[in-house]
Amino acid sequence: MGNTQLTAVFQDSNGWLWLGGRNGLYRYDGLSFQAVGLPASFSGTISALFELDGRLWVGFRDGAIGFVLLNSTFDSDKDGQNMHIAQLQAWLPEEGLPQKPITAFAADSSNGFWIATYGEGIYCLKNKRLYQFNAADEGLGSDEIYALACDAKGRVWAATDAGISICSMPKPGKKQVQRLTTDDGLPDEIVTALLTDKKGNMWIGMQENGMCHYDVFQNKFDFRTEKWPYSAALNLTTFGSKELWVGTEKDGVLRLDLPTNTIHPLPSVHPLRSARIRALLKDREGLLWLLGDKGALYAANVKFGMLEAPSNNAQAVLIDRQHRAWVGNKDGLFLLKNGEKKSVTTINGISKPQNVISIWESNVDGNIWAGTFDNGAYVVSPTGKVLKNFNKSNGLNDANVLSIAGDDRRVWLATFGGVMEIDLHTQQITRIEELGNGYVYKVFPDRKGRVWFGTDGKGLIALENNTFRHFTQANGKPLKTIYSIAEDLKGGIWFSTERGGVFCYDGQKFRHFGTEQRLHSLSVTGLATDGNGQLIIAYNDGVDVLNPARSEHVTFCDAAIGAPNVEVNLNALCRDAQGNVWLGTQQGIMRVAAFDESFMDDPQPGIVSVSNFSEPIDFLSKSIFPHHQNYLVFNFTGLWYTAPESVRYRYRLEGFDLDWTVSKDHVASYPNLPPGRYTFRVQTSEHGNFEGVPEKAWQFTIEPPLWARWWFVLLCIVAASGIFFMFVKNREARLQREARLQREKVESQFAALKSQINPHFLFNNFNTLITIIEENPTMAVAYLEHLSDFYRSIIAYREKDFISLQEEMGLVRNFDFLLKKRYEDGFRLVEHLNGETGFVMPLALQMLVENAVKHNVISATKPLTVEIFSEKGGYVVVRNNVQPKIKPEPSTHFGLHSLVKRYQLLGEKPVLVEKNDAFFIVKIPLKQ
Amino acid sequence: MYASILSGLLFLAVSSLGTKAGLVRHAENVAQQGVFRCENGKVAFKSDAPLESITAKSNKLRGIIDTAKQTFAWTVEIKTFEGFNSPLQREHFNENYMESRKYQKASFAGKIIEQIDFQKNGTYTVRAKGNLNIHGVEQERIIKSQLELSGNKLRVQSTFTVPLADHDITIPKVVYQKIAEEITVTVDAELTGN
Repeated sequence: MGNTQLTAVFQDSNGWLWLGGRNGLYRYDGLSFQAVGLPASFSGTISALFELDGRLWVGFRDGAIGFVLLNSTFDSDKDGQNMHIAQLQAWLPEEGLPQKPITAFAADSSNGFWIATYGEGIYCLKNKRLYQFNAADEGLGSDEIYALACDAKGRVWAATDAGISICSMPKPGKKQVQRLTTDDGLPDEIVTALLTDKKGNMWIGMQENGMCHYDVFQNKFDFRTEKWPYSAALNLTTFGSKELWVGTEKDGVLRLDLPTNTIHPLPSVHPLRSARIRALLKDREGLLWLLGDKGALYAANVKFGMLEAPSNNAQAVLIDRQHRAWVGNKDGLFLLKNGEKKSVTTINGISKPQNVISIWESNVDGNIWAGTFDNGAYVVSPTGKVLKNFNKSNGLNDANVLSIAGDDRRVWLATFGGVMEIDLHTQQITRIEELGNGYVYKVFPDRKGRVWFGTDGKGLIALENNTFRHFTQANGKPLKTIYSIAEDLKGGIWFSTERGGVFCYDGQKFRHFGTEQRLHSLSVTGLATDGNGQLIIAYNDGVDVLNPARSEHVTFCDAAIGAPNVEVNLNALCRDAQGNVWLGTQQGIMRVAAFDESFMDDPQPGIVSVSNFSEPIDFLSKSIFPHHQNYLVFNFTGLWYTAPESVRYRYRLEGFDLDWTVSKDHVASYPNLPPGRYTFRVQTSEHGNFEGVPEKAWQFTIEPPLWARWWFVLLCIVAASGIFFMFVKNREARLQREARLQREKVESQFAALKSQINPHFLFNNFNTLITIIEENPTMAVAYLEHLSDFYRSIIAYREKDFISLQEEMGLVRNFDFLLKKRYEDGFRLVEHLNGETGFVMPLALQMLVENAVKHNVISATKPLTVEIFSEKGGYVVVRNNVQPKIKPEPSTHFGLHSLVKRYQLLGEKPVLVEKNDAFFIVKIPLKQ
Repeated sequence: MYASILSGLLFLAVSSLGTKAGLVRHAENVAQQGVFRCENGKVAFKSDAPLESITAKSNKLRGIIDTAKQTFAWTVEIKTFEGFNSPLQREHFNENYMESRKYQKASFAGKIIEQIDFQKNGTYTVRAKGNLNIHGVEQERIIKSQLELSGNKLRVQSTFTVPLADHDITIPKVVYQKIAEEITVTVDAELTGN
């Protein structure tokens, strides 16, 4: 925050406090400030804040307007220190923005959003269109608007220098402006503040003439302040129906007590006593927030308020039926006139200062009874005249009067020497024997007509129908010294003991309250119930407020109320006609207000952010996470501005935690959550008692991993069986193909063998051999060698699937040698292989050469040329010229057919067969 | 009709200032210097519907700005709009939608919200608050405009939207695919001071 001067304060519907200043917008949780990211276009000072439809509207002094989406998520830096709230977004209506300061926002009952400016009148946004109200055209009092407020009839009131202008626009463009000025009875032309009350009537704050109230149903003013020696009223807030708090221009904050129409300024020593109050806010807990002169923020628990007292030590206090405060101390009895400073009156007729210890007002005549140390009791008229003194001289046993109470017939004085009963008719004084002659601290008549006496040593004694009832023990514990007695709304009698805490007696049984019930201390100096039935328990160093409806809820108030270590004197408590409780303390008198408005009395839990593996997530819209996103960190808050550091959290992750975890830390981490459905619950309490406290919950799911979901498992089974089925089918097909291949191979081997041991082939070879065996025996030997080589190769290769091209060519060359000898120049084999490597099926080329010989005419004049060469694409080509025999050789076509089929079965490239008039061409793929 | 009467009134108001000139000399100067007029401003509209985009414009926008009183009046005859995607469409626009025989003019007259020093050249963004009359239906509007003042020339530029429903121009729902519910209007006019 640094030196930011704050200019606006607002509490949103989630309970967060928003603070606007000269250089930014902040969200405050009571402990730290979180800055809102402001786009560069916003550089001015914030002058107005307002909530409508989930947006926080932000108005600037330079006329700019923006908004923050209130339910957007927050994310924090890694160290969790600097939280950045979603950006402030610029609002850019087609009509353009005002050029003058934005002073207020309001919403009417017919979806109109109103924007007040200082200098341009009022704008109203309706059906996405902006309309203007100004002095010249629509007759506003002036174009300078100080404040806006919407009344019970849905009309918007605007405070101007020329009275009030009441505006409405029931339909777009249908403008209505009504003026309310001094002519109508408005006490002051210049209206500076407006506030709608609970019924929709209007509080009006003026520059010079204080406050007035207007009934919009009766159309009349029904209240105005009588005297207003203060400066202009700038901002207003009510506490219940009886108190109006006014922030002024130069006089700090004033409390206007409506039933008495009296004004109570701050004590003169207060730092804000003569400050300009820039903003005033009543929060959900009943705290009053103030922005002072220099933009500093103050919070006050206005339930507790110190009043200026004549001396520091108020031993007794009483608020009379005229709302005046009577205070007794060591220096006498004083009367404080309400609303007026330094108006202390010493009672005439009390010659020397008396040590006043108790005060009581008689219901019969309004006379004030003051009990003293050593000088009995004085009866004083409401005007301050001493009427009578009951003392030792006229019948008192003891002149130390600790407590006074009575009804329309009698008055009881509790003294160091028992209780004196004074008959109001006869003025006769008698000591009540039954109560002994020791100390009696308190006499207390209840609403049922019983009178209760708190004694020193004799316990609690009740007088009912002229009989006494002694309570000497409660719940087995002895009751000895009773200091203080009070009655709650249900008729329960509360009493405090010397060092034993507080008891409540409901007519049948006792309930005890001690430090285990979170009572601040066992040394109670006084008890009183306020108009709302809350029990005020006073100590030497503070005050507890106990709500009997939630009997265990105790709030100890000390430093937070601006009066640390207040020392409440014994039985210096009283209740006024409005139900407020007043305490006489060492420091002065303190009021404990009983507002007829209920406030939150527990911290309000909220989930601020959720992160998953340090990544902030938008938990408002996302609640399902995959299985590996299972490290959740919850950041929560318990908004409790009354005492933010005393907030305790209790959280539990349903579905994971078996029990609640109580902690002061506002972070909960859950690493490695298994898949499942969870509910995170967080509760907050101020004092560690979580019974009946509010709760926030968030449900989410971590999905099981892919492999653990039923549909995935099913899919896997289907896929696996599919794959198995395919495998089996494939294997079957392969086996079938292998079997076929095997058969083909055997058949082809058989065919090759058959053709080679073809008698015709052998006969031809032998004939050739015969012709050369005699004329050239060496050649014959070579011929026979080649023939035997040829057969050996066939036998060697026939089992193999593939042989190398070289091996096949060796075989072909042997065959060629044999054919050359037979046909001489009639047959030619031409090789064009350039050392190609690769593999072919055995006898493939040989078979093709043999086929060429078999099907073609061979003669010296018509030689048969067989060419073997390689071709691009990995083929070896066997080509021969076509010269068919006139009588074709009988052929089964088995050889070529089988070759093609075998290549196909082995999944090789296909064997290509081409035939034209000139050539017969077969291309055998070369397997690498 | 109403708008033309209104702008007529405005002209009257301006001329009556002239007659008072003898009484208030200073006001006279300001008033005389401060009237800008324009006879041929450009006004265009665009209907951006899912199925069709229609544009039309007129160069016959007439306007007057009284800088002393910060008042203005603009008017344009509907039948001067040209463009459209077909002559038939233009006819349809005039006869069915705008009823230009009955409601011959569209107008906008009112006051400028911001206080502008018209003695100083420069560019100003102003908001004009006035009544927009289209199809005989008046709507109060605030329209943001750019003013560019140099000597006795004043250029006015503005873009704003006009929802047809605001001016009782009814179109069957199915036709919204062809004609947008909100028409974007652009104005660009140069006014001359006297």
